[in-house]
Amino acid sequence: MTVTLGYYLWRIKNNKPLPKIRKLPALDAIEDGVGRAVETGKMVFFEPGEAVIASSLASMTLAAMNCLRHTARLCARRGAKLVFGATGTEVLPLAQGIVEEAYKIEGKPEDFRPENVRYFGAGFSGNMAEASYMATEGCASLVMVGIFYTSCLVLLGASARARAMSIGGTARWIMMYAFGIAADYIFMMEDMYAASAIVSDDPLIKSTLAVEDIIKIVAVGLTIIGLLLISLGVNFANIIKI
Amino acid sequence: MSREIKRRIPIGLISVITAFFLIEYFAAPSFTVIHSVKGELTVWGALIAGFMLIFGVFILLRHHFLQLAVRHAGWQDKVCSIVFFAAFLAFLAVGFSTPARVAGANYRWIYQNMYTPTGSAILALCFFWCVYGGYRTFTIKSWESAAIGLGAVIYMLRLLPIGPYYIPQLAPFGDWVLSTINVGATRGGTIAVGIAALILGFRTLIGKETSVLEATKE
Repeated sequence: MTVTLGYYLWRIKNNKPLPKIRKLPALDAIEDGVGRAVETGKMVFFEPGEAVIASSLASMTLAAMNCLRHTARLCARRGAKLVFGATGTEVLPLAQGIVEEAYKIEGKPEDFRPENVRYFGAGFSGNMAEASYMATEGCASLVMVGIFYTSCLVLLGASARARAMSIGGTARWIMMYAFGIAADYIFMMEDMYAASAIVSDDPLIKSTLAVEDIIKIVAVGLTIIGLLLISLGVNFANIIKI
Repeated sequence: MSREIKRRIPIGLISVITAFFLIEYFAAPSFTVIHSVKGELTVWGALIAGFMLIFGVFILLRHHFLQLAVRHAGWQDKVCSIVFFAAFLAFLAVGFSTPARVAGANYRWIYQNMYTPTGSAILALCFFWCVYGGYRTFTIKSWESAAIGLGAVIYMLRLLPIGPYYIPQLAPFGDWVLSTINVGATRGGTIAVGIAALILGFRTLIGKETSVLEATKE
C-alpha cells in the first residue's frame, strides 16, 4: 500500500496523469434526486442507519457523513429541502454541524433549518416513524448510506409507496440484498467508502482509490496462487512456518 | 482563532491519535506506558461519545419543545411531543427516585413492562412492513435481480417442507449454494470492504479524511 501510494504521490508531484476514477452511478443519482426534489417541491430524506461513532462499524458512519455533506451541499445549492432522520442520538450533533456547514459553504446559511435534522426514535420504531413522516410529508428522494439492519426495508418500502427515488448502500454484506431488491441505485459495499474520495477534489484522495484497486488485484492474485499451491499439495504456511 | 487553525487542530488530533493506536497494536506487552495511555484514551473516547449522547438528547428536547411552543405544528405532532415529554419525565423521575438509579426495581419494572412490550409490538409490526417493502419494490428487470429472485426462490423452497418433498435434490443444491457460491461471494465482499476501510483509515492517519469536518477550506 505504501509503495503504490508513494508511486501516485510521485506522479502528483511531477504533474503526471493520474488513473481515471470510475464513476459511481449511485453518486450521480444523488444529484438527480436533488433535482427531482426541486422539481416536485418535496424533500430529500437522508438516513444514516444505526449511526454509531464509538464502534468497530464507525468507518461506515464516517462514509455516511461524507455522503450527507455531499447531499447537503447539493440541496443548499439548488434550494431543495433536506431532512436528516436519525435513529440514534449519538450522531445528531455531528449531522447538524455538517449540514449547517454545508449551507454556509454554499453561501445560504439562512436556508438552514435545525429542525430538519431530526431524531425519530431508536431502531425499528424510529424507522416506522420515518416511514410515517415520509408518507405524510411526501418525499422526492431517499438517500440511505450507513450501517443498516433488516429495518431498512421499512424505509425502502415507504419510499416506493411515496414514489420516491431511492439511493442507498451499506458495507454490511448481509444487508446488501435489501438494497439490491428495493433501491433504485446502490452503493455496492465498499462503494460507500469510495464515494467520499470521488466527491473530493483532492488528487491524493482520488489516488487512494487506485491504491485500493491495486491491493484488491494483489489480493485476488494471492488467492489464485494459494489455490494453485494447495491444489498441488504445497502448503505455503508450512514453508514459512506459520 | 482563524477558521483554518480551528480546522487543523481536530485534524491533527485525529491523525496523532490514529497513529498512536496503530503503534500500540504492534507494541510488545513490555511497553506498558503505551498500553496504559491507549487504555486512558479509550476511556476518553467513551466519555466524548457519552457527551455527544447528552448533546443529542438536548437537540431532541429542543425539537419537541419548539414543536409544542413555537411552531404552528399540527395537532398530531403536538400530541406526539406531549407523549414524548411525559415518557421522558416519567423515566427520568423513576430513574432518579431510588439510589440504585437505572438498576433499581422501579426502573426495571417500567422498562420490562412498558418499554419492552411496546418495543416488541413495534418489532413484530415492522417485520410485516419489511416483507411488504420487499414485495412492493422487488422487480426483475436485470440479470442481477433475476439472480437474486432465483436465489430467494431456491432458499425459500429449501426451507419449506414441501420443497424437498417434491424436489429431493433441492436440499443438497441449496446447501451447495450456501456453502460454496454464497461463502465465496461473501469473502470477496468482506475483503473488499476491509481494504476500503483500511484506505479510509489511512486517509484519516494523514489528515485527509475530513468527513466529520467542514468540506472545504474556504
